[in-house]
Order: sequence, then structure tokens, then C-alpha cells
Amino acid sequence: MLRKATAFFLFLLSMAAAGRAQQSSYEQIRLDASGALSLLDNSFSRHWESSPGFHIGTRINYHAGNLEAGVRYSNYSARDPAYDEASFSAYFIYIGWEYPFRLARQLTFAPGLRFGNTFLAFRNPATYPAAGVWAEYVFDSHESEFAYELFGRLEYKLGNSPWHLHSSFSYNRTLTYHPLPVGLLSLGISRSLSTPSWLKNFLQ
Amino acid sequence: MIRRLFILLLFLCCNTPDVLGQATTEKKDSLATSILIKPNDILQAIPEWTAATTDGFAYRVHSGRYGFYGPQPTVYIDDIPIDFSYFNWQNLNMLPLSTDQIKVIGYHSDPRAHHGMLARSGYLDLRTLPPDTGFSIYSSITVGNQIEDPGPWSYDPSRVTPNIDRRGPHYISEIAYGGSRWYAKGHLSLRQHQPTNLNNNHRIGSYSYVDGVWHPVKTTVGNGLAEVGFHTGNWSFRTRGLLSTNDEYVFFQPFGREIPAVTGYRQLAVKASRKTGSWSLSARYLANHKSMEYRVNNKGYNFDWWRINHLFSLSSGYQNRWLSLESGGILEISNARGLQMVNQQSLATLYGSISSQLHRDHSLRAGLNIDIATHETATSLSIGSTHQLTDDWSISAVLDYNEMLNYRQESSTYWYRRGYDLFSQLGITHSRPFSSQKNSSTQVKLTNDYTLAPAVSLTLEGTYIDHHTLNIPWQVVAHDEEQYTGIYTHPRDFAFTAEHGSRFRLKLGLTQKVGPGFTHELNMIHRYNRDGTARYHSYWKQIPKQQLRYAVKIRPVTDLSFSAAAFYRSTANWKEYQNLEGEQYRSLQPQYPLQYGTFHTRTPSFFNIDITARKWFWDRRLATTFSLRNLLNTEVRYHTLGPDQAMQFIIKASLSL
Repeated sequence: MLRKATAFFLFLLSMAAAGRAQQSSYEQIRLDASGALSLLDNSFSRHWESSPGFHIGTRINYHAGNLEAGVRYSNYSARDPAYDEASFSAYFIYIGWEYPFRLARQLTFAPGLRFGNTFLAFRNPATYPAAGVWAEYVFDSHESEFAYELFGRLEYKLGNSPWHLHSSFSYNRTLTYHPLPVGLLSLGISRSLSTPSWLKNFLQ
Repeated sequence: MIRRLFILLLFLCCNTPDVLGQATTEKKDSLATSILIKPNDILQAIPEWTAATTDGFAYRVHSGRYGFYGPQPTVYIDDIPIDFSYFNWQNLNMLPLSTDQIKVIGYHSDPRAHHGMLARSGYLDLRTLPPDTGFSIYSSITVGNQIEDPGPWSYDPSRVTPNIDRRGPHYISEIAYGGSRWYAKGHLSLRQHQPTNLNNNHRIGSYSYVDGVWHPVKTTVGNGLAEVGFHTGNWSFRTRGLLSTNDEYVFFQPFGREIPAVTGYRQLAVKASRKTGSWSLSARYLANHKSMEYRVNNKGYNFDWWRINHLFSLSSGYQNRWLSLESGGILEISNARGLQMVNQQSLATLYGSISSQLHRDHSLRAGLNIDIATHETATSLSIGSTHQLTDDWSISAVLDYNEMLNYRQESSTYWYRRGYDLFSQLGITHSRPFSSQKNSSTQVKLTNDYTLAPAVSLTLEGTYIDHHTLNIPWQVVAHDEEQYTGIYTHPRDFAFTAEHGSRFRLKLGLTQKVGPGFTHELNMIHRYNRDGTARYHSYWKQIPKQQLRYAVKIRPVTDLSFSAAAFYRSTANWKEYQNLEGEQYRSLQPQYPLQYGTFHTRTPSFFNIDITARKWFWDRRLATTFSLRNLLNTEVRYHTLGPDQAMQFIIKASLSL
């Protein structure tokens, strides 16, 4: 999977190099909000139950495609009774890039890639041996790990308004020793606006 | 993967027709095809050099002549050498600069006099830009993380694995003021590292339980530099102070493992120079104070060693269109204290070089330096020529004979013979007297440079080196069966013997520079031994025979840059650790279900890829860099006792105002 991601990333880089004169940058900024449901059935999802995730992000056009950044919050509780009352929150903070294709006058499809860090906050950190025993080892209550995400987003523009509806499927993989693969289906809204001059100056 | 990279390369080449023909000219011995983030990235980017590490933070360097246990390359910041080598253990993280502030990196692999100092094993010459007029501020933060934390699987006893902590953070800052004739600047750096991989954490961490307290297993390196410069007419003056204090785990090769130590370094430098027409004159005073003191550990190990050097140097140069001359002298007075040892040394060094452009297509150069100590003298000389045979082909040949004083090898055995009895404290025995001979070698290097196209150059280089005498420190450690101690090695009879043998090195380099937007290069190195003693052969097995590095840098637009480097390194064999072969190591107590690993004397060959992206903001005042190291997550291991460096990511943000 990692090799495929690498090849894909390199392909995206080449696209960026090829389309560098496509359009002027930083003209439009877009704010996103969406909710996400976990779909995949795998070892991780069988051991941990995910609550619906919430995502906010921003995108800005940059030469070929859009640069983006954002955060997604999810909460997990243990399905496996052996884990006792274990639960944790996950915050995926990322930067990414997408390349939108226009499918119809008001419909676009954008494949993209995100890199970031998944920050994990454990409510009752794991303890070895059992709590209260001499020389117990308590795991950190906070941990972070590198994660990447491949996604495809369908976006529909609502008439002449600055509002958009979007839906996406994303495959996220947090690279813990035993990785955490997550498939997410999300639905949300976006609002586009002209980039304020102060922000444009900052980004340039 | 190779096929995909090749296709991508072709694709990128086809997409840059608007800048074809704008070949840049750049010094051969400077680096430009990578975005460098950490000081150690510099070492990885030099094709002829190879490096090894036991903790992923400090690297030993083989620059071509002396192997990992010889003197380390001399490091210069703006012509002034800094000396933070402790018994040949040198931590580049002690540089008080960020790689962002280094504008040109020059290097050389052979011993030579350079900027008023004898660089015994080549050099790294780091050059920064003078401060802008008025006030300027620079600040950066770098954090990194290696993958393979346990995450939520920490709750599952069948899947739990050790915590792999973040790397860093590293903080660097500079404040500077530039006037019309003078400038002043100050640098501060703080770099931290957590050696949490199972293979070294169990060993280093075993020192940390002291008086019922587990002390953090952490390396902290803090440095400060202040410099003032002034120039008027033909004169220029500079003075610099440097201060460094570090909590480290110094890998002491005669002991076969790390020793906790607080290393310190202080430097005062004063330099004056004058240029008049073709002549230049320079005078410099340097004071270097190095120390290795006690760092809390449950064995009570303490280097208790310090040394102060005073170096006075005077040099002159002459240059016209046809002729370049340089000569100088250095007087070094050294005082060292260690345990019961008190020692004083005085050395004088004389050096000179001449370079002549006899004809438009032919040049000659020669160099000589004589290092004079109380009881011995080391003489080194070199002669070489370069010939432009056709418009597209030049050939150069260099013959050198090099001697290095035993003192210059920076081996702990030198101090042992003068009463520094650290070996007794550590339980290191030795049966034979240590060698007191000079290192001596002869080297022949033949280089062909071809211009294949206006922007494409090919270099073929062959080097033959005959070590008449090479002092090799050697410690075949024994295995300690008591795993719970976390020690695993026992020092045995240590040897420091004069060996001899000869080696070849072949290099192929291919570079294409297409304007400022696209540069890539391929370098292949092949090394092998021709003959030599048994220990000579064993020693050089630590150095991989083959190395391949492909690096590309793309700047599609002015505020965005990408670099990628693919690196192959063949297997290496650490024969000193043969007694550990196949033995197990394990995580430290007290901890969750024990984790086990296996020592291997042979480090595997590996192929990995690093990619880096940098985006500038706010008219290049703010730069953010994102890097993925070991993208393929292969086993990258440099030493039997070193960690398997899995995939890492690094984020750096730097602000220049």
C-alpha cells in the first residue's frame, strides 16, 4: 500500500510541475465542514467502535490544484471486552493537495492526498502489569503518529451561490506498529470566498 | 518502483523545455540537490562519504582514508574551525546553526591544510551569508516522529509494542545587526533526541536507574555562538565565542558501548586579515576548551577529562591570473587533564601550496605540510595536474603522501600512554602495547570529467590508497548473558595496532542541471580491499562496498520546492561484535510484556527513499518543510548496536525577519 501511495504521490508531484502555469494562485479560498462515517471492516474496526467523525478544513487554489489543511475528530470506544473501559479520541491534522476535474457545469471530482499526524488521547491509558502492582508501567495518555489519506471528493455547486455540497470517500492509514486503516464516507458543505488581500500576501 | 521513478524522471524532463540550456555552474564539491533539514543530512548527501550511527542522532563518518575509527572531518563555520571531536566521536548536532542559514557547503575528502588548520581527514566548510543591514531575526523549530508506536493496541497484550517517541524538538534562533562596516550576531540552538528504539533503549536506559529514580533516556545538545565583525579599507577583523553543553551518551569504541557524559565545548576566536592587490595576509588566535564530565549513571562512569588548546596561525597568499601561492604556520599549545593525568603538548605546523596555470588547458599544483611535535615529525605532500584534453573532456591526477602524528588521531590510547587510566575504571584490559606509530599512506587519484551536453556532466574517478601504517583500535567485546542488566557487552582485550593494506575506490557521477528549477544527480561508489593484514580486512568490512545515491530537486514555482533522494547501501559487517551474533536483547524492566530482538553482526543492505517539500510564505519570510524519511519503511540499520530506523517524518518551520 505504501508503495502505491508513493507512486501516486510522485504522480501528483509531476502533475504539479506540469500544470504550474495553469491559473493564478490564491484567488479563492474555500471553507469546509463535514461529518464522516467509518465503513471498512477490518481488525481495527472489529476491536474499536467509531463514533461519527467531524471535519473542518480549508482549501485554496495553488497553481495546479488546491492546497488544503484541516482537522478531523473521531471518538473510539473498545468493542473488545478484554480492553475493559478503554476509549480514545483521535484528531487527524493534515495538509494536502487535490486536483479537481470538472465533470459537469456544477459538478467536480477531485482526487487528492493528505499527510498529517493522528493525535491520540487515551482516557484510561493502558497499564502493565495490572494497576497498583509494583513497578507498573503506564503508557502515555497522549500519543501521535504519522498518517496519510487518499481521497476522492464529488462537489456540487448550488446555483450561483457561494455554497457547495460535497461527498467524499477517503482511505486513511495511521502508521502505528499495527496500522490503523480507516475508510470514511463523508457528507458536508463548503463556502467559497475571495481570498482577503492580507491572506494572499501571507501565502505568497 | 525503479521503473516508476524512471518514468517520472522522463516525464519531468519533458516538462521543462522553457528552461533548457540554462545550465548552472557550481563548484564540484558543494551540495545543492537536497533540501537539508538536520545537520546529519549533510553527511548523507556527500556521495564519497559514509556514516554510521548507534542512536540515530550522532554519526561517525568515514571520509575516505581512516574509516569510522579515525579522525573525523574538520568542520568550519565561515573559515573558522570548530573542534567538537571527543576521542573521534563527533556530534554534528552541536552546530549552533540551522541548515537554512548555511548557504554553501564545501567539502573535501583528503587531508590538507585549509583555512589555517590541518584538516586531518578532510573537511566540511559551512558558509553563511553576512547579516543584512539593520536588525534581522531568524528562528526555527523542527519536530520529527518515527512510526510504529503502539497506538490503541497498547491495550492488547498480544499486540502491544514499545513506545517510539518523537525526535526533537530542535530549536534554532539567531539575532543579528548589520551596519555599513560592522556586524554582530548571536545564535542559539537546542536539539533533543529520545533513543527509544528497542535495540538501543534497553542498553542506554540501563544506566538510568539511580537511587530509585529512572532518569530520562534523552540526549540534549545546547549551543550558543556570538560573533562580531568589522572591516575598513583592506582590513577585516572578526571575533567569535562559542559555548556548548550537552547531555549525551558517548559511544566509546574501546568499551564497545555508550557511556553517559556531559560534553562541553568553549571557543574563542580572533581573526584579522588584510588584502592588498594580489596579496593577502591573515592572522588568527583560537582557544578551544573541550571537556567530558560526569552524567548521572548507576555505574559511576566518569571520563573526567578536559583539554584546552591555544592555536596561533599566520598565513599569506598571492594570486594572479597564472599563479596562486599560499603558505602559513600554526603553533599549537595544548594542556590536558584526565583523572590523574596532566599533560602538555606543543606542536608547530608549516604548510604551503602552489597552483599554476601553465597553459590555458594545463595546470599544476603542489602542496606540502610538516607537522612537528616534540619527538616526531609528520610530513605530507601532494602533487597534481589538470589537463583540458578537449572542449568536453578534462583529466586530473593527484599523487599524495600523507603522514599523521599519533597525537592527531585523537585516540584515547594516546592519553592512556600519558597516564589517563580510564581503561582501568571501565575494566578494559589490553595485552600488547598500544601503537605509537604515525599513520602513513600514499594515494593516487585519477579523475575524468566529461561534458556530455551543455547541462550534463559525467565524472569517473578512481582512487588507490596504500596504507603503509594505519593504527586500528579493536575491541572484540564478549556477550553478557545477563539480559536484565541491559548491558549485553563486556569489554575484553583492547588492541591498538599498526596495520597495513591497500584499497581502491571507484566513483561514477552523473549530473544534470537545468536552470534553477530542476537539478538531479546520480552517484555510485564502489570500494574494495586489494590486500592487507587480517585486522585491516576486518576493519574495512564496516564500510559498505557499494553506495548509490540518486537525488533530484525540483522548484516548479518560486515559492515551492521538492527534493527526493533514493539511496542504496550494501551490507556491512561489524566483526568486533561477532560474539553478539544471534543473541537476543530485550526491553527494560519495569515494563509491559517483554519485547525481544536479535543482534546481527551484519547490517543488511538497504534501499530507501526520502522526499521533502518546502513551501515559502510571506515573501519568503516563513518557510515550512515537510519530509518523509525511509518512505519504503525498509530496515535501515548502520551498526550492530544501532536502531532499525523505520519511516520517519519531520516538520520544520522557520521564520526570517
